[in-house]
Amino acid sequence: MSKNISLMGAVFSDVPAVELPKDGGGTALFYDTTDATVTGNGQILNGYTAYSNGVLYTGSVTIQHYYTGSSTPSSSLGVNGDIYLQTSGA
Amino acid sequence: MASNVVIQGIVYQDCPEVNIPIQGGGTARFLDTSDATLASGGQMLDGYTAYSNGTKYTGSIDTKTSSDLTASGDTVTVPVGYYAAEASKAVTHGSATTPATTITATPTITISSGGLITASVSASQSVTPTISAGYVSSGTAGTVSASGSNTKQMTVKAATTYTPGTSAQTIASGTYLTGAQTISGDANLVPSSIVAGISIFGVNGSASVPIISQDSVTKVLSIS
Repeated sequence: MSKNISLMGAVFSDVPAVELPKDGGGTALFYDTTDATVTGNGQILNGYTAYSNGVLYTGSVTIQHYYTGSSTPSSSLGVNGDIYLQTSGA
Repeated sequence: MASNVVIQGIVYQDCPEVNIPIQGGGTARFLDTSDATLASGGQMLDGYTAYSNGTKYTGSIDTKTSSDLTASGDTVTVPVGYYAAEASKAVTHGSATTPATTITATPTITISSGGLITASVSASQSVTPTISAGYVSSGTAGTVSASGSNTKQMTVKAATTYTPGTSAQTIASGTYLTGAQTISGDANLVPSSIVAGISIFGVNGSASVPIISQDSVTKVLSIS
């Protein structure tokens, strides 16, 4: 998103970000995030973060794998919450 | 994230955002997004956007429901995607016992020529795989089946011929006979061969037996 901003009496049009020098060197970029549409943590995968409309969201969507096999699965297969479908055998 | 920025020679500590007046009123907020960790659209649901480390990302994870699950024969296919709620698909030809399910079925029982009894059962049940809410990355589902049998060896008795005697001869109950059991007969078991007054196996004797006596004085032997 970009904004028409007024700074020290001057108008700057369609500004998507502001770049400022950092103490010690380099620059820091500040972004307008009002056009982002994420509204909840449940829209981003667990382990990731992102900004939307001025808010930092921490993802909460879990990843689950599912596996198939013809015998009892190894205890090292997958993680808690995964699904295992045994295709034959007792 | 917050940065120490310099504006007109003045250092401002830990600035997470910059607020600047908008032409016409209001304030525009510009955020430092360098601490966000989102790195691709594949880490966010389709239909959403967000900023991370200076880049605007568009989500690409498709949202799926039960209607996206497909079954072909015994195979259920679960497409990659985000399932906001549990999804399930009935498998028509699934057959199984699951650890938490007991299936009752009528067994097939056979007895071999050696007296081995075998009871076999093959049970089937529809299986409904379920998936909890979350992002499924890959995989293909299948079916579960179960069958089993049990055996018991009976006491067997081979072909035997029995000759009747003075005591009864018994074949124990539950014995599996693997050969003919023969009770011998005798052509002489007829009334004329049995002394009158005696019965053998229900045959009453009719044969006359001479009565022999001797006079104690005359020593004369009499046969009648």
